[in-house]
Amino acid sequence: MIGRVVATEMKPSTPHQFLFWTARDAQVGIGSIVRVESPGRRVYGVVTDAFAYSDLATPMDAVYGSDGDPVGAVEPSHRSEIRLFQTAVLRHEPEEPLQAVPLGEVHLASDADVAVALRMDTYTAGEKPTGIPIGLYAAGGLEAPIFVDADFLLGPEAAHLNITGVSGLATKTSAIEFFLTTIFQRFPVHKGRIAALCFNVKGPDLLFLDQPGTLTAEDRRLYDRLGIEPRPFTGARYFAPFKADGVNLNSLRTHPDLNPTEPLVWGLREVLDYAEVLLNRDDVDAKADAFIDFLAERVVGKEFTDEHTGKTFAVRSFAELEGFFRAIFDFLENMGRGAEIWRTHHVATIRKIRNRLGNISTRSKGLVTDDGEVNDLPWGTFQDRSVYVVDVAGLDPLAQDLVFARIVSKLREHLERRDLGVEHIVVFVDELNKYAPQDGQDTYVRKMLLDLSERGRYLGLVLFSAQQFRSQVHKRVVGNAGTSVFGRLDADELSTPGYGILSPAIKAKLAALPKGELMIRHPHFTQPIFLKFPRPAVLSGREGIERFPPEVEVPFEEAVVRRLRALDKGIQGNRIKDLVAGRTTDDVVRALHATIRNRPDDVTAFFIKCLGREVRTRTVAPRTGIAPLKAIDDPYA
Amino acid sequence: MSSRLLFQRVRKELGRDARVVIATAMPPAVEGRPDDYRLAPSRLIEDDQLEIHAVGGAQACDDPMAFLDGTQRIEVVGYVEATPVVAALVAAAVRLRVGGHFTTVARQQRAVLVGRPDVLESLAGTYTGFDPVPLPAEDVLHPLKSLEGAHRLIDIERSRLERDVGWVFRQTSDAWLVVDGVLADSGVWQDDARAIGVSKSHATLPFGGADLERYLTLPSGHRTSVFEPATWRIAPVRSWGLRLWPHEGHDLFHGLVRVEVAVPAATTAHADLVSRWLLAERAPLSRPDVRWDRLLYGVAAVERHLRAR
Repeated sequence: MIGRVVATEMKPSTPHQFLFWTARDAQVGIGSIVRVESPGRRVYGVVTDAFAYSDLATPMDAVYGSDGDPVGAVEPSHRSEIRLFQTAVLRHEPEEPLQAVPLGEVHLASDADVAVALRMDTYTAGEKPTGIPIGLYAAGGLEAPIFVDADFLLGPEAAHLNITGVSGLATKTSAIEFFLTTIFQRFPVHKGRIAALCFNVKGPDLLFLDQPGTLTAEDRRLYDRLGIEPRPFTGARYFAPFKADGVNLNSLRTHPDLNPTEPLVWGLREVLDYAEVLLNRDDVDAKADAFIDFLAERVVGKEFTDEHTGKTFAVRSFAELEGFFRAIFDFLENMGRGAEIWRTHHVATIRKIRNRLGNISTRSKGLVTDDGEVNDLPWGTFQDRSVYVVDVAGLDPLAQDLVFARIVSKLREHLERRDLGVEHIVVFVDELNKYAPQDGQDTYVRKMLLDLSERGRYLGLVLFSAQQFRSQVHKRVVGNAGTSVFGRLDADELSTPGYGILSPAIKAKLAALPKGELMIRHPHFTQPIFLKFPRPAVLSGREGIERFPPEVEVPFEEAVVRRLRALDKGIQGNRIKDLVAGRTTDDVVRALHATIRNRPDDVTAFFIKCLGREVRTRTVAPRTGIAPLKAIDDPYA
Repeated sequence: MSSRLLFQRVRKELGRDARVVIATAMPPAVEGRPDDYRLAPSRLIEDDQLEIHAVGGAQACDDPMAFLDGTQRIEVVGYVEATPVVAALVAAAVRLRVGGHFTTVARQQRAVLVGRPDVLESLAGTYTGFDPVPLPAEDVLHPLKSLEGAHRLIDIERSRLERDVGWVFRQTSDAWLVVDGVLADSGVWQDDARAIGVSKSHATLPFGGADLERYLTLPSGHRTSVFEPATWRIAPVRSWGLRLWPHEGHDLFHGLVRVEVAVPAATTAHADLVSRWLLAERAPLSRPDVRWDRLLYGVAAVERHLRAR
């Protein structure tokens, strides 16, 4: 026993909160879970605030009693002092009739008490338990594993997880990595297959998930206590676009000792399907939509004959699309003054769409190929308990938006058709305040994230998101997160209205929360709970970049060799260099992308075949002129 | 059970007897204890005439120090044939201070029902938890006289409890013990060199005439010569006046206490040392109690403990 419930007329106990007092040295603090025992009733609560005061009537009495000298005053007795704790009720037993908390003995909660208090007993036991350990509650020398309900973390009852915390402590990334570890190891088999797709949006954060990290003995003890094996995501696959040269990867994960990062290359069709991403609020009008639909349905990927010009187009790449636009503009110019309409589309609309599409081709060179060759995520063959990381950290914001929009939309399409390869997919997006801001214009990505957060759980599409400032994220996105996690927060963020329900003491604790500790809200928990979690068993971005520094950007020929060597380590570099020597960059890139996409058994042969026969330049000898007529003696000839 | 509930219960129990008129208040005329104001000239022990001695600065006692006090709660719970029936809860406790923190080491409590002997006899069996204490025959004629008599009996009961808990404490501890009140009325402390009585009451003053003026204008941080009070009943003690706080601007009695120790302990050095200890006991201040100028914090802590239960 550590204390007793106290209630006065001014501060009575209620069904939802009560006060208890303890000895001065009691091992109880903010976030401690306690059990109140009284005959016929047991109440569980979590400490939300703490007070201490003495019998000093006014501060002036202290001055008077010490003759105004706080240092030299002799004070043989310590004033009587109370340690009073305000506690929010977690659960009553019995639940009905719901009554005020009785004046009972207060005990620190044991493992079993924590399970009951947080209603974890309802989903961690039985034939088909759905509990997933997420950390350890620790107070007063006691430790208890905290489980969240998979049905409420990953759907279908509720879903999504949002984590907030100041940057620089690596708490958010570490927590997400740890959560994915526990989910992959403890997600119930009867609920189906699950995978995770993570967008790496800054630096090397998520680029070494397949490499084991350094764990302390304490970390290993925590893993053991949670029943989780500390191991990295060995099957993780990495995707990143090329740089503008089309051969060097736009990623920090390029060290040759690592499993190779796979290029992410999209063509015109992939971009056109998500052209709305490229349009800003002013662009989005019926005319633009109509012309994009026309391009998608009638032109791109098909044979299109323009009856006005009589020309036939086969548009499969940006280059061919540009030729198509050029033909339209030439036609209108030839028609003379006043010709502004082409097949009901105004020339201004056509120019706008051309500019936008051309823009993505230019700004996202490396992601978007001009030649129609595509290398994409393994749609339809996602593997159970696997992580897929798409590195968009080096991409232009417009291209990042395009990547988000297309990948999430494709995930949704496949989950709707039940042909993704897994039944549940966790999508992790960091910097959510950038992609789904509370203020600012309504972008396609924000709408997409809203839709995901509101309807994704029915499909098995689960959003794990993180940001520094929760208050700056769209309310519906964070509001739909069934589970919310909070790391250390700064005072400015804590002063925003969203944190109004937290007591000053909890805010103070959040403002000083050490690394490795979190506060979690989950639908089964009626109050936020503080917990600690071990360091993830994977290499952190910072450590990873030191141990596996990225390759320096190499010349074009060398980069081609490296890309091909990622497919076949036996590739002879000199031969490849000889093959590409003198060939145009576009030809080489096209051949390289085709080889990467097809992953042939004989990489060199396939690359040569794609490269095509070299049309060698031939030196033509200058004509020497007409030979002079033979001289004859006949002067009249 | 709290005293409030205890009194409520006894009223309910007595109310079942049709002869009892339930009451809930004390008649204002007899609130508090009647004091007998008088002068009782004392015999000087230390000096030839009453002198004033500076005791030095406040000095905290480093040894564990205990404090003894008692409380009483008195309520008229009813009347039978115009005679009051008075319920009282008396309690006494010793709290030991070690390292600045208090622990209650001895505590006793007794609930008594005071009334006319024949009334208490006739009510026997109707109430529980209270011990009957009959009023003397001379106190039963006038209801207010009965209340005064009840007060006196309850005072005696409280003093008895204080003696008992002091005795119990002394069986297990030889720590310094500060007793709220006088030592001279109790046979327990006559040879106890580590008992210190601190009397806040000045109903009986130890001097008259010029000595009284000297006594009542004692400067702050000074004591009088040691004397033997004339008021001892069980055994003689040694005593001196001590000014804890300046009286200027307040009242002659402000901050003035009378200290008692057993005869064997009454040396000049001991009087000075004890005085310095008591000066140190001014802090922490025992406000908001109105007697804060004379009420030591340790004694107040005992009172607060008893009243809280």
